[in-house]
Amino acid sequence: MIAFPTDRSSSPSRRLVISKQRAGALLFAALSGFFIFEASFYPYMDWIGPGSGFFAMWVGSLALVAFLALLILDPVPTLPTSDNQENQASARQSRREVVGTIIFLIVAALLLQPFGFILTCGLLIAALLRLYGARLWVALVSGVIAGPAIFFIFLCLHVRLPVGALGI
Amino acid sequence: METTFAFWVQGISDALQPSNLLFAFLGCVIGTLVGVLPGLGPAAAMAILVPLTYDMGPVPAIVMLSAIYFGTQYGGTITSVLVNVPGESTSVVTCLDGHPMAKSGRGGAALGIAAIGSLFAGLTGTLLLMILAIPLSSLALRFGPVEMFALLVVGLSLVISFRGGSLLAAFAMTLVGLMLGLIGLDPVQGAPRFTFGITSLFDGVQLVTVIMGLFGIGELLLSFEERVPEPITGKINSLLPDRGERKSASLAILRGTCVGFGLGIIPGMAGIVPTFMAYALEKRLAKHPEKFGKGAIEGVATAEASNNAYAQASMVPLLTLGIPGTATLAVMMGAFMINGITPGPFLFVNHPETAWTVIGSFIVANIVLFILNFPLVRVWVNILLIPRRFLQVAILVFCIIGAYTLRNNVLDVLVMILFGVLGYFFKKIDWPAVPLVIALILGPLLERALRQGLELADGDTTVFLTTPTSALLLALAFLIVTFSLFANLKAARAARLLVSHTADKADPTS
Repeated sequence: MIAFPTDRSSSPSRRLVISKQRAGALLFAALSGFFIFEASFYPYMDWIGPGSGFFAMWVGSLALVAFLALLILDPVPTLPTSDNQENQASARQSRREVVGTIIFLIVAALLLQPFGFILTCGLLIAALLRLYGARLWVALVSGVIAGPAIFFIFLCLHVRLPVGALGI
Repeated sequence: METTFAFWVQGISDALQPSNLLFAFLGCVIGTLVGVLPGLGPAAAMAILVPLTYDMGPVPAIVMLSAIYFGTQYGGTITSVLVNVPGESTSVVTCLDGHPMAKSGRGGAALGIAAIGSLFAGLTGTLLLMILAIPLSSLALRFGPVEMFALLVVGLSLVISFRGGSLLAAFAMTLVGLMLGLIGLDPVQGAPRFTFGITSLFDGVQLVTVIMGLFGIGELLLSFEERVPEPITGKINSLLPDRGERKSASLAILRGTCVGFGLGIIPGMAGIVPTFMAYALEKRLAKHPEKFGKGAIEGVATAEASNNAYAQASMVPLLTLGIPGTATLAVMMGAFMINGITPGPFLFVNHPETAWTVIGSFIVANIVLFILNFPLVRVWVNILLIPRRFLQVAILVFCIIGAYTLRNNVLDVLVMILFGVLGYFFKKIDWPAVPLVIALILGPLLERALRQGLELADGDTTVFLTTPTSALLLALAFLIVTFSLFANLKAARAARLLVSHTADKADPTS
């Protein structure tokens, strides 16, 4: 893409996307640089031909160039979207759901083996349903029922799910 | 020829065995369900189910996964027509005329013609696949490492070029996929690379966890920001289109099948491209093009025929050349490899009974899907009434189960969540994830072919240009990328002009 000056019609939301693109490009450029650094410890060539580091060096170098290009070049502008109050309130709610989901998933993954599947799944289901707006009693009842039910279904399918320290 | 015909017959016969029939039916049900449900695509659904197929054996596993793949095409039509939200990306075009038909009380006819068109296209596509399989794989058998490297470069260049959006971003994501594919054991020398002492990484980054993360969790996180309209779930009238509609739709189905298969056979072709092209062609040839976009049954017929023919055609490069063109097919390839079978030219040499049974099951799956969807569409419609939040929670739980049961390892779950966050981020900044997935699976093959080619040529890099087939394929890759680059630049210039023009209209004083 050929570089152009940032278009004056960019809405705040579009400028946010562009800055996220640049942040992503910077992050991946740094990762590519780290990849090249690690690849330098593997042999580039050995006695039979290209070594373990050969392909890695080339791919890493090309990736670094590509992400630096993404960092430097201006992305194509798009038509501005409406930034009215209703959209902003909805965006806040969505962000809460996204961040909450990620946190609950990570916690569930870490609790899976010590707590076991039934307890972890029940807690996860209850927490997620509550986050998505379900009433408290619906979330709790769903968690209590769904955890053991899913465990039993997968048991019948001969799929082993973790049993925790409490034996469930 | 006689041997091939014998294999066809044997393959269909094996596909009709009760166990394979059961798994095909199960796959069709699950696939249709996945297609109906918003927020879960075929790639993520198949990735979740792959661990469950470990004990099934290769043939039932692949039969079920293939049936899921085809089922999602059928299921996606229902949400396209009734909700105006495409269940799958290939069903986007169906919304254009299907939903207007539903709003005017002709939803049943739209779903009916979609099922008929899908059946015709599916069966025709499978027949063409059966005809092309042996000649193409025989051609590829003559490929050595040098030619294979060039062919894989063509495959990756097609994936980059046909994804749409920024070519540079697609290229960068392909390189990320290649880097991820390098984690694990060196495919030539067997030494660990980029594992940082973590033994779980010796097997590399698991394709299934990456796909579940990018396309399961990532898409679901994005769905929190979308408002899904209420479905039209009133009485669905007769599913049979009237005589005039059947007549006008029949040619549309035929043309859609040709376009869908012709373009779908190209590795890397995104499903939406042949569907749009078939629609555009049909509109151009129609007696009343002004009706398109307002409920023209030909629009629904050609779109559905095209996307089902595409689904069959996309199996051709996977089975004969070992090149998956989409994330869904990458999962399929992963499932083959987990069962000790490598798709590609040697599939029909080393495992002919498996290959032909799988292809025979495509015929069975298409017929089962027609039976499931034609009279049972009202049943599927009721699934749309399930509150979305329950479906979202169910998808997340199944993703965790799918990731954990791969190797009973929490690291796989955490990797899946990481890729879920990345998938969400990539979508927000318009970076395509499909090239990453294709490169992840093709990367080790590409590296092995490159290094073996150079070893055979004593390190002479010009071997890739002096070998005629390789030179031709690399020239083709260059042309594809160059053409795509020019098209990209033209689109970017047009987009800038449009945005600038819009800004001038909004603020004439500036």
